Amino acid sequence: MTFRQAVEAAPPPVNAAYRAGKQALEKRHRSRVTCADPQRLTGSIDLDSALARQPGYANDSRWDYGLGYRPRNGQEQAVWVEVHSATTGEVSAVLNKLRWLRDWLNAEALPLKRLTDRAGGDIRFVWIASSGFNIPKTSPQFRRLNRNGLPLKSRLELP
Amino acid sequence: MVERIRAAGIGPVIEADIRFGDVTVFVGPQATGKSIFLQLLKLLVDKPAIHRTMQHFGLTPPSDPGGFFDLYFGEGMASVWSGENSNLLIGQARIPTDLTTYARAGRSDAPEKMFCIPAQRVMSLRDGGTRPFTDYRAGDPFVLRDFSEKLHRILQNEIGLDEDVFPRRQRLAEALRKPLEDNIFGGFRLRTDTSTHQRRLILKRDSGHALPYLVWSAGQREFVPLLLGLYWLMPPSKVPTRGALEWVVIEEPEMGLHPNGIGAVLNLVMELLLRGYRICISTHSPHVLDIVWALGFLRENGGRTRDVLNLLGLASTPRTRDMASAALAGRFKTYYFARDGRVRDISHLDPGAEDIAEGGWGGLTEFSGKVGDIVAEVANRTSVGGP
Repeated sequence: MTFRQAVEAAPPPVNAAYRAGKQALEKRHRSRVTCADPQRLTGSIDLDSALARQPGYANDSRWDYGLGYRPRNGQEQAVWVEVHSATTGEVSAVLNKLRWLRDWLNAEALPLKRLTDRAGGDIRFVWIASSGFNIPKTSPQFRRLNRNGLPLKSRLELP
Repeated sequence: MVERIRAAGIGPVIEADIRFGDVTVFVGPQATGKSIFLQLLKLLVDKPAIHRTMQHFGLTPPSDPGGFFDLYFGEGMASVWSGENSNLLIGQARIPTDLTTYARAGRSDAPEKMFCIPAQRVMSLRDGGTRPFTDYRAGDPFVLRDFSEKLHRILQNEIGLDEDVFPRRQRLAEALRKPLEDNIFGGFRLRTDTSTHQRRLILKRDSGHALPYLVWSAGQREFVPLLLGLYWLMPPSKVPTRGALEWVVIEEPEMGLHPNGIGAVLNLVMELLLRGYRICISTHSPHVLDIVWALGFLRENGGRTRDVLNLLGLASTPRTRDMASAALAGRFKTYYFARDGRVRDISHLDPGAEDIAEGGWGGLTEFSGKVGDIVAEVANRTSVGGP
């Protein structure tokens, strides 16, 4: 299954959220995600916006984006990106969003979950610092992020 | 005042362009030239005083520059300056400085301007007693001998005349003293003991036996010479600095200390800054760079004195508020002495910088970052249900 097919298999309104390449990302966020071969960044969804007015989700801590990515000689997979200010005070909020995303994938979007499970360890979920990387790498908050499988990066550069 | 040094081919340093801040921090692996560079700075600033001290103690530098460098930097350092491969530009000068000219005593009687607290400071105490300049071999580094002599003078002639060394009246405000008491001395008092022929230092509780030098913790043995050096720099009078001193070099202030103790020592660095000293520090402690990085962030993002006091764990008093203001206003620079011999300006200390030298704070957090990456990868190996 491709990323596009997995998105279209999700419940509405997410099933209509697929955009080619990085087009679902806000313009200011697009430069923060790059791929050595842009053709292998197959598609994207703005999950946050798609569910913003959906009853039952409007008040949730929703995750920002999903990306379709086809590694060299590999099957297409899903990578999830949250663009958020990176301060120690925001760690709990972003981990809440990650918990929400995992619950949503498990409960509502199993095809996307399966594509996510295909992704490599360090690029499955990524927090991209929106303005400045203000969490010291020696801090307990940085360790807490990694323990939860959420690396913090200035930008996502897919190979 | 030396504002900038451009250097090439000095010891292991292939290329460096260092612009000094109010506080300048050097980081980098062992044997990359940090110490040599700090000793070089001392030589450039204090040539007359260095030669006067050598003459005073009967050290006659050999006529060849290599012999002088052996005597000044320490045995085996004759080749620190190799005429054809070495280059040195001071300030905005376009004409290089020939370091060999510093091997010859001049006629200047300029006062000493820089005080160095060397990494080998633990050597300056033996069995709790101080060691004068002449107690060392000729090939021992000058900065260690010079520091040791000053400690000897301050302990034997100044603060050691009564028993209390730490805590001590009129030395260090309570806000600075208390964290040292709590985090380094653990309820012991530093006192002098004159039961032997020479005044020596002991640790003692109000009740109980005295602890002699060799029973102290490693951190206490490292810190006490540093404390005595700071006493030298902070006279009890209303004059903020000692003599004509303008610069302070502290190598590895963190040596042997728990992070809480390092924090207490960094408070003293801020006190030096408030007094108007220009400070150079070398460090292997990410805790030191945590503070430097946070001060930079506060400066750029409207941080206030109370934020600095929180950062440093200091009670709010008129003195500590002045210290916090000085820390906020200070210019901090950080340089990375890399293994490849090149010195790089990493003053932004952006933890997310793509340049690993800056993002990894000159290797001090690189390891933590690597550990984090591996943990994140393993955490993500499970299904999305996740850990």
